[in-house]
Amino acid sequence: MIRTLRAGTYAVRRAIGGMARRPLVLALSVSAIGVALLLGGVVFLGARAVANVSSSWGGGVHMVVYLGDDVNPERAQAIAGAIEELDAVEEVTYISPADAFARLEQSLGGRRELLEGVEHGALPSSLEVSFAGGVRDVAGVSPFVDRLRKTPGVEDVELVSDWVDRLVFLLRSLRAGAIGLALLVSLAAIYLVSVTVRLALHARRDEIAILRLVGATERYVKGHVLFDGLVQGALGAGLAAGALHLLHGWIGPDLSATMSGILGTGSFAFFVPREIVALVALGATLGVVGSWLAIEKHVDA
Amino acid sequence: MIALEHVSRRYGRAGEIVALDDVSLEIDEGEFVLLSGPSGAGKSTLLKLIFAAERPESGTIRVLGHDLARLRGSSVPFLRRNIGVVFQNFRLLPGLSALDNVAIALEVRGLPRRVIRERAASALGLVGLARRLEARAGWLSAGEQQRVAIARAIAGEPAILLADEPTGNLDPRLTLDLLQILFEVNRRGTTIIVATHDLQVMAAGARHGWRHLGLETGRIVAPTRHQWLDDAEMVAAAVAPHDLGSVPPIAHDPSHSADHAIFADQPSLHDLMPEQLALAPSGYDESAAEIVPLHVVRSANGRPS
Repeated sequence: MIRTLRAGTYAVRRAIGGMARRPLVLALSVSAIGVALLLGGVVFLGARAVANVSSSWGGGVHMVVYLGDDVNPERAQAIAGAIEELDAVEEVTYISPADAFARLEQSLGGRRELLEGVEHGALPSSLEVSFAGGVRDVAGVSPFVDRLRKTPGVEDVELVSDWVDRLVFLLRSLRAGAIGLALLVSLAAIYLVSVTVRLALHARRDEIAILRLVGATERYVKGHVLFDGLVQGALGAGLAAGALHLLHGWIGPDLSATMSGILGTGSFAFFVPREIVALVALGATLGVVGSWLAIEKHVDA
Repeated sequence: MIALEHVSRRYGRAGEIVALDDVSLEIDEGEFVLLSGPSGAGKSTLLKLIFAAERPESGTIRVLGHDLARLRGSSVPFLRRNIGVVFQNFRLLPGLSALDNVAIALEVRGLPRRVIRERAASALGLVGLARRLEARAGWLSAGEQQRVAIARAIAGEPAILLADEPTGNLDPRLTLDLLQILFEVNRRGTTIIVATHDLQVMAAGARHGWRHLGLETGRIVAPTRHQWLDDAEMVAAAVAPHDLGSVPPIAHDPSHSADHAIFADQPSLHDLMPEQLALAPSGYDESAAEIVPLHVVRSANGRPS
């Protein structure tokens, strides 16, 4: 056990020394893993942003009841009370003209000047109705909606289920595509890492031959190579995390504003610390897997 | 210690290249054995088989009590830790120091770091490199690199040391130094097998009484076939470093102009194959000789032959 530990310690020391002696090979391997994880990270962050929007829309308002100009807040509350009596309704929120204007301002972000000259009370008041999950279709055919349209004070009823469903479907498709893309990127990353490690192994063939010559076991030789892969993978992941952080700082705010402007929700968030640790672990795993594949093909006794 | 029985090894798709053909031999503990023969005779193959780097098509090989045919792949590294190997091209890692190159052989055994450094330094001291421990191997001279390779081979105190053309890249003076080191290693109890076609090595072997095995086309042949060994002392004197460049002590038959050219262009006898050199005894009859491309008719010190 102690001998194994010592051998392991030497393997670690020699691996680090070996990498330092081959900076070009190290740079190549780390870059390969870094680029692969950078692509994967972009896909992941994009997919998560899409998933957030999808989730937000999927569980949000399903029906908007636009009220007439002559409807005062008390009348609006009465209509809201009638709607709330339905079992399928989860929540009814009154949006005053001022609230609607504020929302519009917020969604326009940096382009608020478009609203110059528009009166704050120009937008109609409305009731936003959220249904319980799975009842939007039912609501669409419900006689209640027809009756509501004929209710005095109600200008129009917009059942948003149709286009929300389409949007949600689109977003979910995008998410599925992103996951598929992430898988492809991962496979490409493993291949890329494997090829790079193979090159690195080629550069180390003399060292490996000498190790065998002096009586190194296969476990020792392979452990040597796998540890190199692990360190290179972790370094590559660190590189990718740094690049993603810079990228996020550069275009993240604009992307968030755009998403919010178009969809009314969503943000382009960066990794939390736990996810960065997972990214580094993923990089290390990629390095080990790539090394393993390369060993199996090219370092057999 | 080493026993081969009817060992054959062939190469090529149809086994058309015979490297070893029905070879049987025994080598005892502490022996110093020279394997000579022309290129392709099977010397390196024989060493690879003993080192378990290759397996024979037929026959059995026993090394240090192990039947190599029955030895599991996972056990081979442990066998190799008892067999040091030295090559003509040294096989060092040029970016590492001499000490680190030697330490590799000990690191794989999981020894404590202090012990590794002590043993590696001791092995380098034995080969005369005590003051070059931290020098990068790539910056050392050929002779020093070969000594590092020997130090790496003996650092683990192996029972057997195999050397494949160890003097191939060394000049005669360095060859003598290396032979002295090998002699010292052998004196400490290590069995040594040197594959060589270096005349100087064989002459030294004859002088020290080392066992000599000839190999030709994969078969063991009687070394006495090389007549020059009959007077090995004289050959050794002729090729000793102090005589290099002083061709005159060695006369040649003027009728062999081609041989004369070889001699004139190559003041280093070290580069000549044994087959290119033969001693001519008194009353020498050229037509009766087996291998007579060059005729040494008197020794370096002027003794008549």
